[in-house]
Amino acid sequence: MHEMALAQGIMDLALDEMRKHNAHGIERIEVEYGALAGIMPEALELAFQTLTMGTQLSGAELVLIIRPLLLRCHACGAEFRGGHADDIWQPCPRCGEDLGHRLVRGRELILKRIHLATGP
Amino acid sequence: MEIPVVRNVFEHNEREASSLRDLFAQKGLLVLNLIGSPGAGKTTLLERTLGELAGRFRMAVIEGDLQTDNDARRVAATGAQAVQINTHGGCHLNSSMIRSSLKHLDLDGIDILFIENVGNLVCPVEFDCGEDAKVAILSVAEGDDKPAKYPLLFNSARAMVLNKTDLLPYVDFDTQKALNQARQLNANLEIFEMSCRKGTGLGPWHAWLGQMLAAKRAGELHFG
Repeated sequence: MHEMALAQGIMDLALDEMRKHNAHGIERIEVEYGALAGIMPEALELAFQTLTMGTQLSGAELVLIIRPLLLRCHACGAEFRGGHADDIWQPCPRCGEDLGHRLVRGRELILKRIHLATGP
Repeated sequence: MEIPVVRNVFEHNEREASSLRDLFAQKGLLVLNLIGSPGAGKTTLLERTLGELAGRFRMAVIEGDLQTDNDARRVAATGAQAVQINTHGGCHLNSSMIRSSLKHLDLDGIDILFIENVGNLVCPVEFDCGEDAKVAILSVAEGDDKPAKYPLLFNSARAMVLNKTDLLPYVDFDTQKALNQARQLNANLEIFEMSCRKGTGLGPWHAWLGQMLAAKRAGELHFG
């Protein structure tokens, strides 16, 4: 159900962009999601396909791209990346602190790019 | 043709949440979003808090559940204002639902508004409801690895209530392990250990609510 709400959000933005560009349809939608955004790609794809059925976005391909975490060390302030959700537990590469890293990036969901359909 | 867009998929929800946050700031209202599993004791915590602090603060509750108005009735029995949102299958509350429930509340007549989210440790964390802070509710009956399994909630919350401590003799729950994991995710997390059923350990929580309200009124409380 969570994915349904997200799929609806993606669909609303995509339709809005389509109208802005006076396009007839969209072939591909690229969405980036943070490693800790709580996204299950298979569930989001299924929700998107289900919601768009019979709409102007029917048949549009949804491409989901994971973005790494950006963490800031609570102790020394160093910023470092992690490719996986579990990396929130890794010690700071500079000072070794493993407590309470701040999540600077990694929970976002961003409509990054659309490919408009050519011709009617 | 390729078009770069770069738009936040949560933008609609976050715009509404930000507008709610402005409204709550104008009213000097402290708003807390309670997030926990079904059965963790969110409603019992509210019953205790509303009952015990009735003379100190004026409080109201927005209850989120898939079905029934059982929880709104329970909290209304304490004399507090309560409004029920039924999501009919939806796994979280969002800012539009909060906006539409406000017409049932007298915002000028309250100091603290509690949002009791749908019982779920995942989805409610993603949807900003305009609150000042999220409070994670965990009970010892659920297991001590919950912070590790649901890191985003414990990372995003300002406070955590560890409930049902009266059950500790009967369950395999390692309190230190759970609290260490939670602190590892969030070094500034305020932690309150209590039993809402027995009514023990609520004092520090009550004091924290008072401090949060004072900070809000002084304009010193910042979201995030």
